[in-house]
Amino acid sequence: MKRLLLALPFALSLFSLLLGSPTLIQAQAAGGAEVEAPAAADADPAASRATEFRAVRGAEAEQVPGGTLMVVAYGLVWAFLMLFVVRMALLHRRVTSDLRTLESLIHGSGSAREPSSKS
Amino acid sequence: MQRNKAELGYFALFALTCLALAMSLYNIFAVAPVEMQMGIVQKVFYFHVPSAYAMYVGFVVCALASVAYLVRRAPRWDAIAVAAAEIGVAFCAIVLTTGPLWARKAWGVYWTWDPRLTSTLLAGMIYISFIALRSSGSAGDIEKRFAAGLALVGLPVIVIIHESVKRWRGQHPTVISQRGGGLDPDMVPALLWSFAAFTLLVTLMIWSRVRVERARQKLAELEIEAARQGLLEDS
Repeated sequence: MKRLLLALPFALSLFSLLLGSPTLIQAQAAGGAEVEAPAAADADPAASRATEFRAVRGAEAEQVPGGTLMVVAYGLVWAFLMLFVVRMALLHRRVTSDLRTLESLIHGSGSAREPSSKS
Repeated sequence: MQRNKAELGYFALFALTCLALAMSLYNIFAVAPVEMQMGIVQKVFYFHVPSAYAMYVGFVVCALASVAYLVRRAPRWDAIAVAAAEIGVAFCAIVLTTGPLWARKAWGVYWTWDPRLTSTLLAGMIYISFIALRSSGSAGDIEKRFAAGLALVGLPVIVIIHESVKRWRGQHPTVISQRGGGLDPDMVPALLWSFAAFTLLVTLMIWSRVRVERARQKLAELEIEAARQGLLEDS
């Protein structure tokens, strides 16, 4: 039961990847269409020679991959949470082991100091 | 009997948190529409804002538990303060990493010395100092009280983080404010599910950390007892 519950965060990570991928593919396709248009002008060097100045506005100014940034952001959130889970598991194991050792030492010494019933 | 109830409650909270996170992810990616100007990167909002809220919860719980420790000197309050500080710092790290990634697309830069960003970084540094002070295994009463005082110093900074967008000019947006939200109605369910999920998550994380911290306190008491009986020298 415990292992099943501990596996749930990993299952959630997979779930979020599956949900996010169609949206990401759509966004990438929309972004890619903007990049294709300028490539056609490079085929004819004379046509690409500047004859006028035009301002670059909005999204054309810089292609920043929004989808990649979003995936990295969600990935970092999951990484932090997984790190926390792993750290808690390791801490818990170490503390439990130390507690058991000390308790057996203390209780063992307590029974050793009692007078033996067997003679 | 009581311990079994606590264990059951813990695993119930764990299951509820996972369910809420799953519902939140579904609403973010399958229900909420893509934002018109920023595009898909705007979806970082649904984890970024609840992470900031979880950071507030962690730091405020730390500060309140520190007050309780200074007044009552009960180890339980100290354990809660330490746990809440760590969780608050974890969510602060999430806010300060997801925010810049979103900002790169929205503002063109990863970081700017905007009042909200700067005050969030300051709060994170104060509570990292708290954790650093408490990280040594042999923290005595003086270190604990000093750390508790440090947690109280961080409390006004949390108020500054929240009020900074209203009081000072900066680049950080205020989509959700007292005048009402600037959020599309179709985006609201995703945000509400995220807030619910992160509320359960921060509670679960603090509870987990408190359990470990209480076990460490018991370990420290047993070490003292074992040393008193001269058992540690022999082993």
